[in-house]
Amino acid sequence: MAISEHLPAAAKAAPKPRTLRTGTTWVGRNLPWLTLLPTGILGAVFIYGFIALTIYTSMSASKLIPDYTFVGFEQWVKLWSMRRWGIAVNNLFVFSGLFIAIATVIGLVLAILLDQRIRHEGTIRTVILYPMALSFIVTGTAWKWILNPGLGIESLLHDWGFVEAQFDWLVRRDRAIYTVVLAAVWQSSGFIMAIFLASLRGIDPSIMQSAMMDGASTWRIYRRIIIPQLRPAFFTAVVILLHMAIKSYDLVIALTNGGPGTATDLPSTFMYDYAFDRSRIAIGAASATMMLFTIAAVIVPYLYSELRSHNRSRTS
Amino acid sequence: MNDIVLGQRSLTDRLLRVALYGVLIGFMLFYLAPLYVMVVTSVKSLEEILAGGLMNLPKKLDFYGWSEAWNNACVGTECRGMAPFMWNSLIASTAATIIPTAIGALNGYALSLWRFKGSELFFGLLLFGAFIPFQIVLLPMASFLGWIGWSSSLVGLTFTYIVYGLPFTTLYFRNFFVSFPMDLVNAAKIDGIGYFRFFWRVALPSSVPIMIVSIIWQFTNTWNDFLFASTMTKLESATVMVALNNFVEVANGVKRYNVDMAAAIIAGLPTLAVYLVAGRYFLRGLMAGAVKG
Amino acid sequence: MKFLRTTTALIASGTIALSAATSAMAEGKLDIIHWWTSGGELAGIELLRSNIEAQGIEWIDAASAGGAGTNARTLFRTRVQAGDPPAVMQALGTEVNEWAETGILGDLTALAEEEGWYDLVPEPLHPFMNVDGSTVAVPAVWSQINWVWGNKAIFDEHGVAVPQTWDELVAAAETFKAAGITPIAHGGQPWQDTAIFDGILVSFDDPDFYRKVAFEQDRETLEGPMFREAMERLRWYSQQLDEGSPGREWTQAQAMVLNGEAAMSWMGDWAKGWRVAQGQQAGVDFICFPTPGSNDMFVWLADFFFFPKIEGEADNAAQQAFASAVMEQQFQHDFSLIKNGLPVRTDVDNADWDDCTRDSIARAERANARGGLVASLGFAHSARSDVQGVFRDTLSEFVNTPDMSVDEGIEILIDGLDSL
Repeated sequence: MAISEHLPAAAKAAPKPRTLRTGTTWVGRNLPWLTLLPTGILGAVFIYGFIALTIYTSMSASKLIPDYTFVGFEQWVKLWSMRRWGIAVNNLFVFSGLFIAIATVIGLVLAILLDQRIRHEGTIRTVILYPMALSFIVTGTAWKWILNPGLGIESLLHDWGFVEAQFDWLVRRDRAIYTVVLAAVWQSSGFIMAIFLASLRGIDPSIMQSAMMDGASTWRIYRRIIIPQLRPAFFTAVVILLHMAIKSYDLVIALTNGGPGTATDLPSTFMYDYAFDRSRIAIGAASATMMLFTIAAVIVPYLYSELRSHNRSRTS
Repeated sequence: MNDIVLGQRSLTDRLLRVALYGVLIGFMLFYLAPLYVMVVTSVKSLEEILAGGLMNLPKKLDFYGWSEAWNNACVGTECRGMAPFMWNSLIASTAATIIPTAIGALNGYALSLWRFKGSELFFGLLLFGAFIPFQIVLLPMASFLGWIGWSSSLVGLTFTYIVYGLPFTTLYFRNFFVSFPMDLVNAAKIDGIGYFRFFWRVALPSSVPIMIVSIIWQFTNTWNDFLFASTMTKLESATVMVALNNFVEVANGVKRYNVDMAAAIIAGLPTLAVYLVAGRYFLRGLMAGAVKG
Repeated sequence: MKFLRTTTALIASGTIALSAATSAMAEGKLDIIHWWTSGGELAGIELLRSNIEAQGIEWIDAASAGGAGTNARTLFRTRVQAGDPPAVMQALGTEVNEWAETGILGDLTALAEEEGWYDLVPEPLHPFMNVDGSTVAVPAVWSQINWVWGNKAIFDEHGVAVPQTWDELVAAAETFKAAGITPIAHGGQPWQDTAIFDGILVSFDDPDFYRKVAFEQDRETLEGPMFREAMERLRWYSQQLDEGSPGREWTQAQAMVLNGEAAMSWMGDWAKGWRVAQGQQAGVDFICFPTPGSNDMFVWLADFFFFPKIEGEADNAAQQAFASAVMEQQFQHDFSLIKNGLPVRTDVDNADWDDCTRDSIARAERANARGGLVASLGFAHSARSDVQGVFRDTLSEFVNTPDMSVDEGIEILIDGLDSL
């Protein structure tokens, strides 16, 4: 949204220097970037410097302790030949695919439902969004218990008379990853709802009114007019969810700790295990680098387009 | 807008409306269930828990779990309850909230109202830091903290939080100040008000809402952090999340679910309270984290 | 090996070398990372702590429970990486050697000579204490892994005798199953999945087979019929568990046997320490027997402490004092009683031990005579941690994947070993 639109015409007409002069002394003139210098140094060292160091470590002979002998892509080849890494990557695909799809759908549905002039909307929103405020280390204790076949939902169903009922996904190798999806959706879908709701509220009501006048059904209006207008929100939601999925760590630690066996290993847990428990620092660094590249492939274009469109709207 | 809302006219519409509330209540139950289970279980006796009835209300209120969790819960060989770890978390999170917010305010001010050549690039590069998976800096950071003598200490952990919180706080303030009326800045310039004076007198007072967002974001995120905290602390400096995980994972024999749940609620209470009091700002922080200029 | 044969003689000749070196009050502080946080283990470490503190040394406990040291190891590695290692670290088997090779460990050679460690400590432990001629670690206790713990009341009630062979074990399990009791309580964490496989490997009563698998990873043996059978037995084992086993802590599995939810569990002798700490008595509340078929085999692991190089004379003296205190005869006696392992000195009085521990010692002697006293694969004693890691990942996946065939399991294992 262009800020200039809201300004009085006089202000628009006034000469508008892009950079304001702050003073006559050198320091005075250069204050803005001097302000940013400490952060710039921290960022250069702790973000970019450390990223470079980790990437280099992934190409070194480091094992128990860092050993900066260069070995090329040896560790990378090893990483990709590991069955466990294969499982972790495969799990990431399954997990992020389902997580993104389900959280987006639930988020959208909830947003549409909440946009129907609901009474107590604030309360409902508060309830739906609270999981984001809690660490999964906290809520995981409850989830683990709810999903435990001997104690949780399964025994609840048994108590209710469904003696045959089975819900043992948490402890089944081929199902455990879905419990991670379930918990992740529970935690994040409220946020996605908020993104969609904000976007819905931004749609010009007159478009809908005129569609109503034409006698279109509510369903049709949503399908044909409103949802297509939410495209940017969809885009944001998917990027954010993918980013969350790749970073997911405490979720898995608290719920399954990567188990049963290695069934719910994700790159994030794999990295931690190899870098710290298993004395294979270079392998850990290589897997961390893979995580970074995956996120960067999504985030960099996203940030680029966000910043650019923002700038365009400012200067227009 | 009135017209397209599922209407109050026909019977079908009324039924739809009932269904709508039904679905919403269903969702609310889904979201509330884990919290409900935690609360209910924490005030049951162990016998009652093992007798079954996950969702049942307690027959008799029993605060054994709470007092055990607060006073005696064992983490490693230390059986001093959750209290000392809450204190650790509070110290780390408070420092890691105030400092990055202050720096972020100045950064955002400079980046938006005092743009210079390269300031957008600077912002973009810094912003990327908000999205990196922290695994990528974990190993070097651990070495660095040892190098300066801060390893496994609360100071080191706090420093880590501050450094990696800066991209977020800068983002908040920058995006806030970007929509600051430019004519005000120009007027100030004409009046000859200095850089810092303008920041202190005009920009900062107007930025209270985004300051709250930044504070809530930093507090919640550092409080809930597990990755850094589990790597960079030892027993004395452990934050409450690390302590909780250690405590819940490792039961010496029979698991005392009521104590586990009470400990979990205690650990989650501060962020939950912040959320309930200032949920609006919490959401804004999340949304801003999804960029949106 | 001299082992306990010399015990009586030594005791008769009077107690020797009661670490006179540390009689002076030491100062300094020790921060120690360990993972002994349950039952007998905890009581054992507390005893050590009081001995150390009695010398005026400050003890900073950095216990990190869980996963057989997984969390503690993470903590240690971080601190080493950070250049701030603890004064003392607990370690298993070849971990000592791996760390020694990085050059970060301090040297105890002088102390070891002064106190005559190598004359006192059973020979199989020497390779882990001494790396390239320098003494870097001190053993604290060693343990038999191929144990099974049974709920005596359940065994008696169903008229099940202690199974001596694998077939008898299968029959016993069938009896329990028919009675609605979970035959085996198991903690489904990767390290436990691997630990019980040690017990299976020795259930064939064939030292040579164990050696070929655990020490050499001989491909022919791994593809051979006996290893196939071992995997079949692991599959069978995985079918005797209750559905809640994945992710369970070992203490909880023990608790299930104690509560009568399950008939037995496989675990090293520290599980007895846990039982004793719960007020249980050997032969009265629970029974102990070696994994069927392994009566003359003894798979062991040993817990060591090693001592990274640190700054400060007082702290270095404290490290030496710690090592000395661990090796001390009276401590070894008390510690092995409380923690329920075997003492690492051969001159410790065995009068106070219960039947299970006596049985264990007798087994060690029998096994040693025929080459059946073997170091654990599951705890990375017989092979380095990367080899053990492949076993751990594969076996854990196999246990948790009911439809994975034995052939597939073996193939994955061999592939994994090949890619190292």
